[in-house]
Amino acid sequence: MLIGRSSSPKVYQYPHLYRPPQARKEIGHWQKICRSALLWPAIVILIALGRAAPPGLASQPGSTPSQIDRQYIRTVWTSEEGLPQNSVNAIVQTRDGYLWLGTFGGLVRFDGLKFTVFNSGNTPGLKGNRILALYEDRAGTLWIGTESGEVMSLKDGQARTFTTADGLPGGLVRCFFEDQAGTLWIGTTFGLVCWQPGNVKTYTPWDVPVDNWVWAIYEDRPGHLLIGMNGGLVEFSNGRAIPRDTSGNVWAFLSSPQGSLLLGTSNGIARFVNGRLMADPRTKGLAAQSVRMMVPDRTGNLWIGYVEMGIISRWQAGASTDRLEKIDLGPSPIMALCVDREGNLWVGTRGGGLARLKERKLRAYGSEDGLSDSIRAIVDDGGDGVWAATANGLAHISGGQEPRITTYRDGLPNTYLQALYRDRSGALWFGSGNGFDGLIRFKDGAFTIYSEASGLSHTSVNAIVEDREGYLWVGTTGGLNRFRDGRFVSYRTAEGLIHNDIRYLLPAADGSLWLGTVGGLSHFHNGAFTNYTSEQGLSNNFVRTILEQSDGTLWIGTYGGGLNRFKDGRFTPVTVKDGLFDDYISQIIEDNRGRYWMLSNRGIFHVAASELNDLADRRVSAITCISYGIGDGMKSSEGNGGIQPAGCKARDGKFWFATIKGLVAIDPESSSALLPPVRIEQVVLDRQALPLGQRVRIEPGQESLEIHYTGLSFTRPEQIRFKYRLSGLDHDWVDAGTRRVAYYSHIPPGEYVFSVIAASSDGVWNESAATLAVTIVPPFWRTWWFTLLGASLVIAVAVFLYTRRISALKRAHAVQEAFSRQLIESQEAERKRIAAELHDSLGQNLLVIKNRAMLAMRTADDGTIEQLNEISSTTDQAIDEVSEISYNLRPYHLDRLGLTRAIEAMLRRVSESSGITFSSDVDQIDRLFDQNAEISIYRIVQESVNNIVKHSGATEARVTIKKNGREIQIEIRDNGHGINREVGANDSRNGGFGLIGIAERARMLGGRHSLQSAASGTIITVNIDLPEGKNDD
Amino acid sequence: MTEITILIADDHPIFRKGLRQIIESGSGMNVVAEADDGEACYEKARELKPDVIILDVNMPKMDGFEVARKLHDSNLSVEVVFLTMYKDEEMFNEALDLGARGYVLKSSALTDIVDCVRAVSSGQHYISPTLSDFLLNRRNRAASFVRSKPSIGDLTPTELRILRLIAESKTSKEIAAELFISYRTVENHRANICQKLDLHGSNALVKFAIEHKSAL
Repeated sequence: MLIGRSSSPKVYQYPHLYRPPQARKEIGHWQKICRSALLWPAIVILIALGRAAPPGLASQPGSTPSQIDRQYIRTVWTSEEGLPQNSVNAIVQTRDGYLWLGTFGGLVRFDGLKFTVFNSGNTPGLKGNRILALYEDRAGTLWIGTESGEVMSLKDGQARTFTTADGLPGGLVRCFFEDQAGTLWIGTTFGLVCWQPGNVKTYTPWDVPVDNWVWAIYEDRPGHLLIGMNGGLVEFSNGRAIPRDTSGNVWAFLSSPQGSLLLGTSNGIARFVNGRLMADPRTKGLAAQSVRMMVPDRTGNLWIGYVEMGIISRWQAGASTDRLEKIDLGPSPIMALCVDREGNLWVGTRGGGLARLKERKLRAYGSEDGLSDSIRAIVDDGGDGVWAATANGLAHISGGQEPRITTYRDGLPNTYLQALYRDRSGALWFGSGNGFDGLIRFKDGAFTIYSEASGLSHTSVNAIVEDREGYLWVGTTGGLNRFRDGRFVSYRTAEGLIHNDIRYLLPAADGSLWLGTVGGLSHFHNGAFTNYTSEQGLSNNFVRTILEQSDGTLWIGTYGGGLNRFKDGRFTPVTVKDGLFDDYISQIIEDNRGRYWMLSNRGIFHVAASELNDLADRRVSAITCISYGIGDGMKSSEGNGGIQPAGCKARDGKFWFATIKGLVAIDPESSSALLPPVRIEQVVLDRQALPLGQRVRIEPGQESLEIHYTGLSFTRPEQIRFKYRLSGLDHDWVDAGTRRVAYYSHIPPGEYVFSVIAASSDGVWNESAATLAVTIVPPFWRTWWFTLLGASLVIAVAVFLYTRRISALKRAHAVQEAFSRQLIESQEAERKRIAAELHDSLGQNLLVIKNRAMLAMRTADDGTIEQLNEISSTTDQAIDEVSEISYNLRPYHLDRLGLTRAIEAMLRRVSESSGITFSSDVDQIDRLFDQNAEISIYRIVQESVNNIVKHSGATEARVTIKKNGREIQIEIRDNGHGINREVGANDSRNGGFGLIGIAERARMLGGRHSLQSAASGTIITVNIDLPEGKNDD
Repeated sequence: MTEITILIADDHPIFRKGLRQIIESGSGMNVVAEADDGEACYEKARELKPDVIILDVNMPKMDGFEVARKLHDSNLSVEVVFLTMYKDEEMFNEALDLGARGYVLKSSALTDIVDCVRAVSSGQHYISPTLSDFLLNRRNRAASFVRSKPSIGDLTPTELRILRLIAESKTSKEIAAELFISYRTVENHRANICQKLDLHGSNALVKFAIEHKSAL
């Protein structure tokens, strides 16, 4: 840290005593002239002459094009741009927002971009094309008056023409007026017409019938009209016309905001007070006497048009003085003036087309105002103006007046200025950029210089700020300086500063200091520098400007790297790739609406801070910037920066920016564009236009739909953006950009609503949408009734197929059952047959053998007796076996002794042979069932018993057959280990069927069976209904 | 000594012939008729009134048991001998229950039949020796039936008779007609029997009767 020599700074109290060596000669010349005795009186005289205007009014300056163009942008449309013809005789803006023009080539509707012509050729109902007058009544009907005396009306797309056949007098129609009662009055060259359809009356106030030219109509109280005519002013009421003044022609009426009635007459502007015409003082300053039109705008200006002149006047009400300026708009005579809802002035000319004067958003000051081209820094002056550091002095601009430059003459030590700052005490600090001097303080008319000799680190001062402790920080091309009470403390790279060339200083809310340098960002805190460069993520090291958000987040503008957000120690770049308007940012200022206005190399633009933060947080993928350039009034769109500050906010709220060609002032609050209303203009279906106002109905086969819409704003129509949506098809808004047509094709059948909204050029969306109902008629094979029919058909077929299948299944089942039964029956029959055969044939033959052997034994010798004995006993065995086999096939007990005893016999046998104790309790069940059923019951018991013997591991079993009323119940229980279903179920060896067989037989007998199996034993229960006639009921 | 007249009924011609030979080889016996089905047997029995009828169980048209039943009902004084293959206790019991005096197995017919006829014609029972167990069981059961309480021994002869008829699945009406007593009387007897034997329900009575048929 270097402490400069604290030699006292030089203070120059009397600026005229100090002259820099180079300038001495020049000043000398001037001095001579100034001292000339002739000069001053000459000046006084000239001034006196110039102030010949009446008191209270500044002289009417001639309007130089630059003055008009300074405040307004002029745009002209001719037939080249789509007008049918170059004379615009009448202009009116209807309540829906459209601008209507009356030309000699028909009625024209304008939406800012496109002219739509309505003439006798394309609009049935419009018979006349040479239009002179236009008027919208309270009901929204547009009245059109022609040169040939026709009156036409246009409402909701329907046009009608009225001629002399309807009672019109036939003169040129010049004006329309609807009185409070709703009656329409028409002013023609043949008199005043009271338009009541069916009762049209014409009044001719002057006796000379031909010269009853009515120019304007006004109702000053109900039922009492004032008529402006060729020849004077006429009062009209109750059908009587009373001439009031005949001193001249009366062409226009205007009720002024102050409450008086102004008249445009051939003698200038007049006031109608207490029934008398009095000249209005403004008449004196008018460009001409014949005032044909008077139109006020929203900012208090009055626009005045004259007869057959291409000049208009603007009368401006000012805070201190009124100004009346004339504006030369070219040779074509002006026929109509109209101010639209957004404040633009529309001018209709004869032969010159349509012109629009749009107030510039930007006010530019440049070399023509005496400023140097390159403005280095701007700072507000504490009032309604600004100080600007220029290359040829210190400029001061305020109050809409011409900039005043302070130069050497005023004591300014150095006119090549850069960097500006106004401190708390009101002193103005600036730096010089030509290598001389350094830091200069200006207060109370005195300049104080602090140079390197005083301790400043470098003469080229780029940035000056004051911190909250009252230290003045000065950034130079050669280091940082802290200054107070005449003492400098310097910091350079040796002290840790990233780079000595400092361009921006920002005292942060926490008391630390942020430095933007050519080589990176630096943070001076607690006596130390923390540096950030591209290595830490900064997109570009040339930092030109820094803005601090209330939460401490920094936005850093760089030269070539766009913006960087510094939050939580991290840098997030925002560049043109993200939608940033330009990557060269020289200044950032925040307005009252949360938008950041930035000066760049391509113009001034703004973007919402929230959008920037959302982008940095990746909540959105792009940002939208609204920009202003040469088209809005800048002399050059290239901002000038690198010196602090390149832009500032003045006390009146305006933003001032420095460019390479002067200064621009812009009011961030003025949103000149209204929210544009949206209108659907045309619907085209398969290349055929549909009549509007109806629901669109698309039949099958019609495919492509075009919906043409427009947004009605005339300020920057080419920047209006649209979003549309077809409800039901688009799940979100479709961003159409500036496109004004929506295309749809192959929409599926249904009911839809098409909506479209527009955003102004400021980017604000008008949420009230224009809608159109669209119905897509389904082809018959997609209608609900067809679908229903089809569906019911399908269902019916399905049901039919299903029931068929069910009955087929049932039949199959029945067949299967019958088959099973057949099978079982045939099996039993087979068994019976075999059993009988075995018994009868085989068995009998064996008997014969046995008996013969026994017989032979009587007479045989010993040896043979033994053999015969052997034969005999073996045959016995065979007989027994045959008997056993036969019994197993068909128990003869069943046929001989009845079912009950057969079962009991079977149980006894099993009990003896198996070792399981079988007990039984069998009711008398003989002769209750037929033979087949009896064998089935027998088999059921037999199978159950076999299962017990083979699989149950039981020691005891009990068979109970009870006859109750209508059924018999067979219960077989054992104390075994329960059934393993798989084993028992498929036991089909030994001719048995297993459990399945039991179930099957029970079912065939029309009975029910159940099985209870546990580890403690099994119970099989079969219930069989007794056949009819056998029950006990 | 008059000759014993014998009727043979069997549906096996060869066996019948052999049997006839054997019987006729013995003295004092004369085969007066042969039948090869139950109906013919019954008819011939009625017609010729032989002393002894030897019949098989398995016969067409009417089986041997049915013939025996009918002979029993017709009060013909003829002795029935079953000559059958059935070495079965149930069949054996049924045969005897039907009043047969003799039960000879066909497998030992040639040796046993003559002795059987002779014994039976003099009023004795003859069972093939291999079936003597059956006979013992039968006797034992009968004894035990008598011993068990409630016992058949408590019943009056009329009651026993009625019980026997019940065992033949006859209804009260049929019993009344057979015994020439009134229906009401039969019902009273049934009730008394039930009371004495401590039986409840008509089913139980029938069951009891059937079970103890051989003892009746």
